[in-house]
Amino acid sequence: MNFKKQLKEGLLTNNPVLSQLLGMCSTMAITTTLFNGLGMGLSVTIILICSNVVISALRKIIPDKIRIAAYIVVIAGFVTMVDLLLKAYVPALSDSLGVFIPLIVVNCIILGRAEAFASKNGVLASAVDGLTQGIGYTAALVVMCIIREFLGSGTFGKGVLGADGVRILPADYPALLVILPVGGFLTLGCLIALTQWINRKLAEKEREKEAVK
Amino acid sequence: MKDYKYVLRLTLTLLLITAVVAGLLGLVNYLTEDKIDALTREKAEKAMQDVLPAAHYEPIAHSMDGVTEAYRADDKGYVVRVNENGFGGSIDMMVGVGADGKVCGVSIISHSETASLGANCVREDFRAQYLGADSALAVKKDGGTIDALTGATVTSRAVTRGVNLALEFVKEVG
Amino acid sequence: MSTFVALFTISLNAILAENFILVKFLGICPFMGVSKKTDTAFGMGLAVIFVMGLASAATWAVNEFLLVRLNLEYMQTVVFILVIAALVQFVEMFLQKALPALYQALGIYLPLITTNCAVLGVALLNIQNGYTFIESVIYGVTGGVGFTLAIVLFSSVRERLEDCDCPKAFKGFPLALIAAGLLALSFLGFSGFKVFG
Repeated sequence: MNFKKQLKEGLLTNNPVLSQLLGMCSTMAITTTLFNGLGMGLSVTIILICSNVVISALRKIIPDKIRIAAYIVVIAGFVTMVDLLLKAYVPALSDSLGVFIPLIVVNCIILGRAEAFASKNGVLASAVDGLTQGIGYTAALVVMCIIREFLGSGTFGKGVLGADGVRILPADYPALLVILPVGGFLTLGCLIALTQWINRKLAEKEREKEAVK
Repeated sequence: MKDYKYVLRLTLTLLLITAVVAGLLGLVNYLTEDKIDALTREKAEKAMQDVLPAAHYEPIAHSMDGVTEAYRADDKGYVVRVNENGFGGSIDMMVGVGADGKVCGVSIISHSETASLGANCVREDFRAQYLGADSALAVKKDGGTIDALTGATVTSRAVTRGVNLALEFVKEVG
Repeated sequence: MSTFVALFTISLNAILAENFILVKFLGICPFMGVSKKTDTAFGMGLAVIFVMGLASAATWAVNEFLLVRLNLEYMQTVVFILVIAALVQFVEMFLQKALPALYQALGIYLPLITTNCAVLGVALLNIQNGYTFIESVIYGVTGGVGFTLAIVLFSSVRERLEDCDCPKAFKGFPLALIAAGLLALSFLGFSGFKVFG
């Protein structure tokens, strides 16, 4: 078990959004303010850890044929619980994320990690995987939010630092386009390009190191 | 025979998992139900006080499509709760109509519009445009007087429709 | 007449102004995943129309006659996803037996649809918008038509992207996303588009 390595994988080389290209619906739809991004990221992280742990614990009991159905039930259960808890204790977040909370069920990241990792590894390792992948997802969302909020509304931290956040650009300048769906596609495209570029540089460095040895 | 056993095992496992999940959900629902109800009620009551303050709200019958609740606010006028489809889902709002038949307050109880765009419909300066209206309104794009929110014509139209609906309802009742 | 107008408005909105993929961001995974070739994109689109229509009908009925009656609305998400998963499985088996030709064409896309958020999304939105049974089915089917329109248009753009010259880091997926962004921009022209008052 190597927490540092898994964290690096979750954040960069195997980031669920930027490298595995999973869970893009929510990534583009809700990343208009920092509050939304953080809230969504944390909710998904919690659900991911829980579902990974349960699925990993049950991996020997669940017959192969019905595993997807069983995973979906477990995941849907956790999602509904989080949905109800948010409604009761963080109503502001539940209002602003709307239908995208129940839709976490079909967020491919969660089913993807269940199938690719939790169904093959132990409970502890799966929990760590859930945590690191969740952090990676949250990080991607937060970066998207910061860029889109800055360019689109000219503010930082809307909802987190006061209701309107900190204004950076005067109200007349921001390009509304970035907050519209179009901006979601464009921002994510550029971010993924950046990730590919960084990953290639990292891989080249590794190779150079190998060559020196 | 073996096949039969296998199928039974599949069914039982899935049934067991579903039952456990359902049980847990029931528990969480039981724990959060009251809190959610209280929050929703509180929100609606606050919206009623916002649009038309009164000591007592008396529920009245309603059968109009889109109107979910309606109250007579002492003798000051009516408070109508309406539901309109916005951009991201339904917009639940409270509209106060004074005894003179003019809109005296609009409050958005819940919505799922896009942040920074449609979500701006909760802003004071947008809602203030409806005050004092006594006949059907429209956004400027449709030849009316309401300044639509930037980039959120659909939302602005939905709110306008809601206010019009409330006015229509009050005209029928009063 | 007014119901017809209402249904027409719902349809036109679902296809253009509130396109599931390009405006509502539902169903992006299959949109990016199976849009490399126009034929496959079209096949996926047909399968989605079919399942979204059926799922709208089934989930509406389950919600109305089971969940609402039993006061179990909070179980919506769990029940809907199960209904959809079962439905997809059932459709797959039925097609295999009854219409092998269609199964050949749609077969590989069907399992993918369970995790298509557009399907669960349409089920949840139907309830949220308070649609009647007919409205739900129409919304489901036309939502699927909107999905097909977007994915077919996009796949033909993408076929051309394959040979283009661009910065190495943008090659492949990022470029596709940017092209999708431009497509979304053109659909933006439909928003605020007014149909019959």
